[in-house]
Amino acid sequence: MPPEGTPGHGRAGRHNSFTRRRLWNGPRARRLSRVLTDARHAPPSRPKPVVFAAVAAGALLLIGGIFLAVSGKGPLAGVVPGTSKSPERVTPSFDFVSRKTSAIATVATGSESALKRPAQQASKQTTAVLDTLYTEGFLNPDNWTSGSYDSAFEVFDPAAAEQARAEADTLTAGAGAGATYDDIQPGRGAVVTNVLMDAKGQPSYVAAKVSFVALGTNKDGTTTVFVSKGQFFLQMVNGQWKVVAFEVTRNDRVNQPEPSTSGSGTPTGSPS
Amino acid sequence: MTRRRIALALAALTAWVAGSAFGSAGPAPIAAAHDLTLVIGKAHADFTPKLDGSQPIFILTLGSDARPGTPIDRGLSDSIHIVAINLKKDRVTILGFPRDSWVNIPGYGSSKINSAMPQGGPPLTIQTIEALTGIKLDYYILTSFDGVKQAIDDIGGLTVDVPFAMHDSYSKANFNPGVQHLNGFDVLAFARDRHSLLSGDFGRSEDQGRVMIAALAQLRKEFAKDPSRLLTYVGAGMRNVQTSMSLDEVMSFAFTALSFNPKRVTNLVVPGSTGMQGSQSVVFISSVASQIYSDLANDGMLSKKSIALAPSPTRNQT
Repeated sequence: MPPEGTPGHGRAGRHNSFTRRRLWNGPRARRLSRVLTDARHAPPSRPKPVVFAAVAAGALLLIGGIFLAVSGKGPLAGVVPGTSKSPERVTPSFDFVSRKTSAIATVATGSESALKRPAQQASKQTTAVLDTLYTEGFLNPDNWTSGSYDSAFEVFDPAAAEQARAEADTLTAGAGAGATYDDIQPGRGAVVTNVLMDAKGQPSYVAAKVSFVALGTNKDGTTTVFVSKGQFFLQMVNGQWKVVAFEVTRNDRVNQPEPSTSGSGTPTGSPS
Repeated sequence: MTRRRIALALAALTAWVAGSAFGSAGPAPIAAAHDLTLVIGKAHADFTPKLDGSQPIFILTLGSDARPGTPIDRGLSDSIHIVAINLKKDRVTILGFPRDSWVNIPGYGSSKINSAMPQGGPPLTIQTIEALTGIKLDYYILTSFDGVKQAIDDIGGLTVDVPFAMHDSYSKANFNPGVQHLNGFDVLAFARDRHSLLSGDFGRSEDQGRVMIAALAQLRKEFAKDPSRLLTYVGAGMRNVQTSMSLDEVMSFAFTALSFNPKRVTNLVVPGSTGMQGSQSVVFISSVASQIYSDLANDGMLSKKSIALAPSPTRNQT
């Protein structure tokens, strides 16, 4: 072992922590203390590059820890100003706002006012069906993260459901939504309904004109505004309102930072 | 030197990671002033149910001359058409019958075809047409003067291409040729006018077919802009007709009709000649009409040969 106070001694101490612990309370601990004291009186030496590396690594760890704590699902997310907590994977609540309901009679006789109440009831019921369609198609994270929208297609009758599945990328957030978005939150939604009454004054068909907006937070930092407009025909089938025909247009937009500030990709969950 | 470089590299990495981390920890810009808004996808999806089947569908459409106070199914059926639909090929054929056609009315002997309804309502009229043509009719639709007027007004009028000048004080038709948007009163006048037509009742029957084609064209056009208009049309129709179709069947036909190209609808009137039967002015249906009936019964469509047997009654009208 090199003599105390020589570079070789210090190197041996640093690289053998077991030896240092064993020395701490013994006679050699006092010697070590003296060495450290002597070192304070030694001429200042230039810090070695490896110290920079250690500091940098420590800083990196610290920053990383802070980042993890304040972002995403970290415990400090939303607590530290300027940070936001990612929403938990719960389905946001969404209901279309009913703007207008009209009853269309199929018999010349009878008062229009008698049709108003059943028409409004039908409008309420069919709007609930469309709430389900858009919630399951765009907002239920179980669906959009997996790209599977079976629960959305349940509102269609069998013939319409077949076509709806084929047009899933237009009727939902899309098969690739899970890879594209971190979050999807509802915006505004409005519906106007026309209710065709049968000869007995009972609702038979409903044409619902809808407009729907939602906001997707993309994984690349951009945001996508989902815009869906269209009309759905619903018919009472075995006691349930089912979509029997539809015509829907998607016109999504991405809010993207200027190319000079950051790059971004086009979300793949957009309608094709 | 190598260690120093490593240290500097680590420091730079640290600074970069730190900057990125704190940068991304803040709220993401949603629509900053300098953001670019890109339309990333315009897509369309649609579905309308459609009847299908290998057998043609035949619908008898009747227009009653019943005046107020008379049940419409007891008036004279002054407008008579078979509307044949080939679902496989999305083709429609309209075959009109002059109201004065001298035919056998089952159980009543020979008479004008329009007299079947006052004697036995739509069922006897159906029997008469089926006996005449051999075509099995699936449904009937019956309307009246007021029904036509009201239905057209309920859908906001009808755009009709008036093929020639029509000025007739009886029907109140007063049109120059050309495309024009008509209200219910004018559409009824257009459909009733026979005095200003060279071919009289034959030409009038063809004009009634033109009204049906115009309604189909307008329905498709309006549906493309606003699908809910379909319910307006169905409601307007149902309020102003009597029919053997259920509402569900009407809706099915309405959805199916959207796939029919109005320009490909064949509009014919059975060929014949006018004459006298006793003191009555009547129409004797040509014997070649039997070829048209059998061709139509086959698949709901007519061959070019059959169509040639019944040239347009208004072809010489200017």
